[in-house]
Amino acid sequence: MTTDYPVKTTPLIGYVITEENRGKHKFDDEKCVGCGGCSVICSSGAITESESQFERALKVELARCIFCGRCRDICPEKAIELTPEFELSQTGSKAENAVKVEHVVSLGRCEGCGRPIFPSKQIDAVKRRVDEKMDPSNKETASKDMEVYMRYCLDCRRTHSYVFRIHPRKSY
Amino acid sequence: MSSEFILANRTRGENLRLNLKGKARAYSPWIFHAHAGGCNNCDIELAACFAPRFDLERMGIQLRNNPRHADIFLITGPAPKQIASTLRRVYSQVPNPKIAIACGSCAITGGVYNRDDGRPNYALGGPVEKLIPIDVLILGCPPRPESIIEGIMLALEKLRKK
Amino acid sequence: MELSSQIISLASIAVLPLASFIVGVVYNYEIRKISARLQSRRGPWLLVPKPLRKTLGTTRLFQPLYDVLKLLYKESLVPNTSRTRIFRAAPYVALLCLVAAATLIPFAGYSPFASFELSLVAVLYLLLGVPLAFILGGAASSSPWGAVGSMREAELMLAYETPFVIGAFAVAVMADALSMQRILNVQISQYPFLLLNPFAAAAFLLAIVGKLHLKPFDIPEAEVEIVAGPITEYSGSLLGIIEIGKILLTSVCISLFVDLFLAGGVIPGLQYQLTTFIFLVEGFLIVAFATLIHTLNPRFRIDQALRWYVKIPILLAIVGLAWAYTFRYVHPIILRG
Repeated sequence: MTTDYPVKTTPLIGYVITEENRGKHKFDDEKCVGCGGCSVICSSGAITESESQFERALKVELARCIFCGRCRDICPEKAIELTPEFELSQTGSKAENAVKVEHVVSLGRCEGCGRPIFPSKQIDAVKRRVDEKMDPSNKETASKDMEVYMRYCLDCRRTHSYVFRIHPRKSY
Repeated sequence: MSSEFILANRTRGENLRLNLKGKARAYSPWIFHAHAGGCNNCDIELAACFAPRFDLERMGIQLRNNPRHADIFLITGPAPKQIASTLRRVYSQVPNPKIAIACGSCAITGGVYNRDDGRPNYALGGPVEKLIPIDVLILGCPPRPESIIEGIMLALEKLRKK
Repeated sequence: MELSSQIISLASIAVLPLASFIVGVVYNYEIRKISARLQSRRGPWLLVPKPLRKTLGTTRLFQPLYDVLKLLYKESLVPNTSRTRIFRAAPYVALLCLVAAATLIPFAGYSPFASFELSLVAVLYLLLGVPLAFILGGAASSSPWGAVGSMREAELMLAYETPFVIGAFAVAVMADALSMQRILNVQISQYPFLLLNPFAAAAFLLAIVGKLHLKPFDIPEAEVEIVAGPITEYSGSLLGIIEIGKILLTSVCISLFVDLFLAGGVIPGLQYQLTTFIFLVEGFLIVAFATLIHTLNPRFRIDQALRWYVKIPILLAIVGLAWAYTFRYVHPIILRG
């Protein structure tokens, strides 16, 4: 009845470590758009996002993770998954040196001022969803608005709001 | 870090030396489990390690309830402020050479008891590495018994060299 | 005596306790392995699986020896408020008594000193030093756990020493001798005393279960109740000496049983060389039986233990003693007809 662990025979005697075992995270490189939803909902603040000039990095600190799976449940693109890998012990005493998982997304540029806005993949994903899922009666308006909102940063939108006809008094 | 990694890390000189002291220390480690607050899950998984399914007695490991008889000091739970001094006192009662293992997310970083905005939690005396020097980290919440076994095998390698 | 036999006797003072120690290590391993197997687990590996041999060694047959060595290499913490001299001396007292007793007992057919006229009495007397050391060490350790444990050890000692001594003396009455060598000779020429006086054998065996602190009588070292009893404050090399004492006690008690009741491994008619083998096999069987009792029982309370000891083993021992006396008069009748 005793398993063979730490000798790793397959299959282990008596039971199998199934695919449902929640272990180390894995970001899918193509699907992840860098929206940061996982870091918003993380129960213990293990996933953090940090931005630099050109890219946004999502970092999972496994020493703080509680392996609840909420990040996997909320990801709109189903890009993060918890693999069954659980052998994460290490020597050393500093928690900063503990295992981490990182994923980096490049940020798109504002066409007016050149500053970074959203990740380019996120822009593509939003456009794709509007095309696929939005009600046809609203789709035209949405596509027309997206041409402004998805290409310019907040400051440029505010500065050029008359030109883009998105200022608050455009209807009267 | 599997056990193959542990074996591959040894140099040739270490394999050839008799090293009776190191061998005896690695072949019979006795564990004292210090519960420093926490939700008890890590303790249950540690107790499962000595149950029939994952039997740590195979490697000669015993779970003792007396720190004076132990080599390995295994801490679970984030250490609230009330237990900080007691933890240090019990750690000093473990005779040298000793290894401290922090088991679970709470013991390593405070786990789910941290604030999202980075300010310190009012109740925590800190992750355990602020109180005593830690040698091995076991990640997981709670770590699977296999993870605990793997962490203990890493500790055995460290104990052999002390 | 000739010079060579004198030299052999002197050498055996060193060799016999060592041999007893090694056999005691294997007996303790057997206790752990059998009780683990009865609990559906594995117990210490007899043969470590191949991928782990570099990290964990080839076999764990000498696991109690590794425990002792590890403890001897650790530092020893002595409490500030304890009576340091008694605290430090108690384990060594137990060890000395056991080494002396191991020298006097015929072990696997080799018995350089067992023809000493009063060796049985000397052995029983020396074996009283072990619980004495426990009690002294626990009381000197200035810890409440030690005090409670010493009290329990004293009470348990009263309980198990009585059937131990009465059973041994029943055998001495039947053999009409107090030296171990003559008891062995009587058994070789007649039948083993297990068959001739099973009451004394049963009483002696139950006393051994209490002496070795196997469940249901591991009361002084009760883990959950009092942290470790008399040995709570011991650590490092002093604890290592206590562990050596425990291993030697196992070997000495089992050897005593095999010598007194099973003819020391000698089966008349078989070669002398097989005596060692049969001695060890009989020892393993007795240990297996004691482990069965150890695994299948919970722990008694100290008053329950005392009451049980008065009810059954002491009664059996007294019946065995009475039977020994009547046997002296009955047995010539059996031999004649």
